[in-house]
Amino acid sequence: MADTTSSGDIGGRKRRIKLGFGFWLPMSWVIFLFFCAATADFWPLPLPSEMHFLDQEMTPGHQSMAFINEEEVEFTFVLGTDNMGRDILARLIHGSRVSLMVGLVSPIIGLVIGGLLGMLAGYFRGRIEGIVVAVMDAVLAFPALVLLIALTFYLGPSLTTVTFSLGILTVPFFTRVARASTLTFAKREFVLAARAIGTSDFRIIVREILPNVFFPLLVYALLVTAALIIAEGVLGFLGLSVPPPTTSWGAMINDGRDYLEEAPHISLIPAAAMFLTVLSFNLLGDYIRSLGDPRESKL
Amino acid sequence: MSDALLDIENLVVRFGAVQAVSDVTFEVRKSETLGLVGESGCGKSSTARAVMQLPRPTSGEVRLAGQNLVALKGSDLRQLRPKIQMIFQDPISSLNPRRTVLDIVSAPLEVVGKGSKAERKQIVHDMLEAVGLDPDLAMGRRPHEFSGGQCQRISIARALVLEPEVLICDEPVSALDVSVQAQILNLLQDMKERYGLTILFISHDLAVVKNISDRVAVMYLGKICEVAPSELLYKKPAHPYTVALLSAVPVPDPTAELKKVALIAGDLPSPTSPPSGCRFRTRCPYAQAKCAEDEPPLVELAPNHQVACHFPLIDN
Amino acid sequence: MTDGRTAAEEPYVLQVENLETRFSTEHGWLRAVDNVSFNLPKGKTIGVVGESGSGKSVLSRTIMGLLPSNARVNDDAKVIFEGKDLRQMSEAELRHIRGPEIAMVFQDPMSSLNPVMKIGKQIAESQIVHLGLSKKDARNNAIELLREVGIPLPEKRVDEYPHQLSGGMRQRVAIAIALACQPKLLIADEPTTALDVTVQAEILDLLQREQQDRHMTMILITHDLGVVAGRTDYVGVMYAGQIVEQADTKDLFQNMRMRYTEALLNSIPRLEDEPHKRLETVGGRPPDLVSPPPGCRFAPRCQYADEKCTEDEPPFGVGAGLTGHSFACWHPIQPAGGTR
Repeated sequence: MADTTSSGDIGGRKRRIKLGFGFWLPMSWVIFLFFCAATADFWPLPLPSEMHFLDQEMTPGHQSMAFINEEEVEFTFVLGTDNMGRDILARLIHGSRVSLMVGLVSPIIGLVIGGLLGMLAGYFRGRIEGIVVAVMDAVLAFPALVLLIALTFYLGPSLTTVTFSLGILTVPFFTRVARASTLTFAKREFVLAARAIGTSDFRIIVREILPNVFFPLLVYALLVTAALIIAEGVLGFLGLSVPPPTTSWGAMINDGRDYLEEAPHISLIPAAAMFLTVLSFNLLGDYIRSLGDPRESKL
Repeated sequence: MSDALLDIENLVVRFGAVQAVSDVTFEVRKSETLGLVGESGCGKSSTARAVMQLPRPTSGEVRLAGQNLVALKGSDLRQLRPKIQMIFQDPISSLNPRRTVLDIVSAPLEVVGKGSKAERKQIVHDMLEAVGLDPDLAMGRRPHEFSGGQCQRISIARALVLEPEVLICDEPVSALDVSVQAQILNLLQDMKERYGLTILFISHDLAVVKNISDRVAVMYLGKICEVAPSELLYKKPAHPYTVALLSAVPVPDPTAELKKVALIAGDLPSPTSPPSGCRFRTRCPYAQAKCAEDEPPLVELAPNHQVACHFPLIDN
Repeated sequence: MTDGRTAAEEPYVLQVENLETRFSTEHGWLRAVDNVSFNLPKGKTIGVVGESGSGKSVLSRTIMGLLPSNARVNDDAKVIFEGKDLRQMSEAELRHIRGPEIAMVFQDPMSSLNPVMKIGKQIAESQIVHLGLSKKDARNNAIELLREVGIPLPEKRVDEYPHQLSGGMRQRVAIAIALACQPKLLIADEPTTALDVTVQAEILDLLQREQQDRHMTMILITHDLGVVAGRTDYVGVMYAGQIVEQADTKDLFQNMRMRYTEALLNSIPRLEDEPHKRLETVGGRPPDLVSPPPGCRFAPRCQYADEKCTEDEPPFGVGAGLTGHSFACWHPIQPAGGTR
């Protein structure tokens, strides 16, 4: 019996990641939203900014005449109209673009910048860490709303401005997560082994640390997405998000603010859409986190 | 002296207020296995890391084939690194959980820039076979799919892929089951012969150290107490601490008498304020006044046998 | 099982019968302890030896009833402590057993002690709860216990926190906590594995002394055959969830029968061996406990295994010509052959 070979038996079953109900339910909503955002212009609906003065504040299911693809036809306002007679369903679909843009692009800004800074801080420690932490603390301490108003003022209100501003605001949070994660992994012996070969710091960060830090950052990004969609909603509500005629869910909620008694659907429908979207991203984030690292534990 | 491949002189490693290694001098001769043994807090792991310059020691010299590693600048040091490699205690923590075995073992080759991708894969293939793993089954998998013993084999493969001259083993079997421990010890012995390695083997387990080493150095609280060939250390230990260590090792023989450990009961002194003179004196049954005044130097008691004690036990 | 005898008259402090503990995992049921039975006479020490995954820790936790929620024990298992079946007891009743009757010392004192509670308070706690002592009396007892377990200046140290003590000291405190309510049975689960070898000897001496002074019965769980050799009366060797050999300690070492035990013993480096001795190894890995191989579980790694070993599981029983020495092997070591 060969006393030094480990007789072939490499144990541990290969884990097949089974994506269950908990993944596909929220994912299907997100996919549907993507679909809406991408095909918004092709739906057989009136333009979102088109006002129908005869059909203001109509409840869902109201029937009337409307211009669809430049033809006036019999039309059912599936989700009703708002205070200016605009089709809520059309506005909802167009508004999803803003929410998704902010929800997905802004966290990427935060992830890339914050992730990088966090990894540098956690790996090099010392002065670099001190500077990064100090700057991040300063950004965190700065009132977010003031920063947003200032950026909107300087850059002009637009989707790009909102996306960028919110992205910047998330950087300190990603830095914190990345730094904490990096600290754990930089202590491990495989990093020491890499240094023992003479691997450059850059290479260590990219090939040893980043693959390990990436997963927690991804999970965190999904949760940040949910938070940012709400944040954009609040900004829209305050009129600080995208300017009209672009539609955003937050602005829609604001539009219906004065009509909560007689036509609550104007605010409630976009609020429900936001709720479902935020919930979906939260569920996705939690689910992916639970897939996690398959570390076997010896009994 | 001239056949010393690794020469450590006056090594000091300080972490803030704690001096983990205090003025340690020893050598590792070419093709020998030197065991470095001691209990927790004695500084053996810190010594190993200092030899590797990870991080550089506070002061002292580490000469590899004559060249002082401590004095070398970054890029020069990096050039020499392939000659001296290390394996660690925790088999799981030593491997990047997100990379495949092929990646892990070929990484050193990539960093050094050796060979083409295909050539590297072949080297890794042969190396995995040499350490007793089936390369085709192992290369595509990740560390969590392997047992502790197999992970340690992968670590050994990674350490040897650049064909170093010196291999430092920092408690490589302490985290493994007894039956697996034997496998890895035998493997290290085989690798040593096959690749002509010089090994510095660190452990707290005296029996393990004795099995694999030619000579053994005993450390206590940052200092070396005794250095001797394995067999001699066991048969004629001269330092009271060595005697205590030997008597404490449990023997798997029910008829053997339970030896009384020759130590004054008490805590290990704090490394931030070690006892004056001989550091071991607070637990030494033979301590006398002189031991508190003068620190005993490491002197040659007999050929190849050094002790740091004012009153070494010469006849026992 | 009592037959009208009182606890004092029971010859066995602990009787374990047909114990089976399974864990629900995503790959199926994992049988960590499989059909374990043994009897522990009063005042004796039984060593349970096994490597990781052998089930020795799970066994101790099953006896104490300290299993996680995904664990199941079979219904016909019996854990009879002084005539009472612990398996039939409710959690509330078990809580009265843990501490005053059965106590446990764990492997890592840093995690078995509460880091934010003074050590004196931790020792006093169970006395206040189980014995109804006043805070003052419990504290005085705690100081005495600290003295007994060998902690110098106990009056001062009783108010310290675990992190202010060394590893060996912490384990002494853990032992003091276990002894606080004067239990009849002490289970020590790898009490010295995390400690230095010189401290290990001291702690084992302490446990032995306490056991003798208090007439306690002790279960000493370890992976180290050296530890059981000098300090136990009986030894049970566990492999893959089963007890594979069980005997008086001396008998086990001198008349070893089970191939696994032999392999285990031979793979340990000894101080008396000459340097560079080639150690005998046991190739392969422990079996998958979710679907163990048919027949003898050690067969895939055993040099003496044959077809019979991989088909039929060898029965666990007393060996021919032996008293009190049981094992499970189709091709046991023959005494005449003389392997040792």
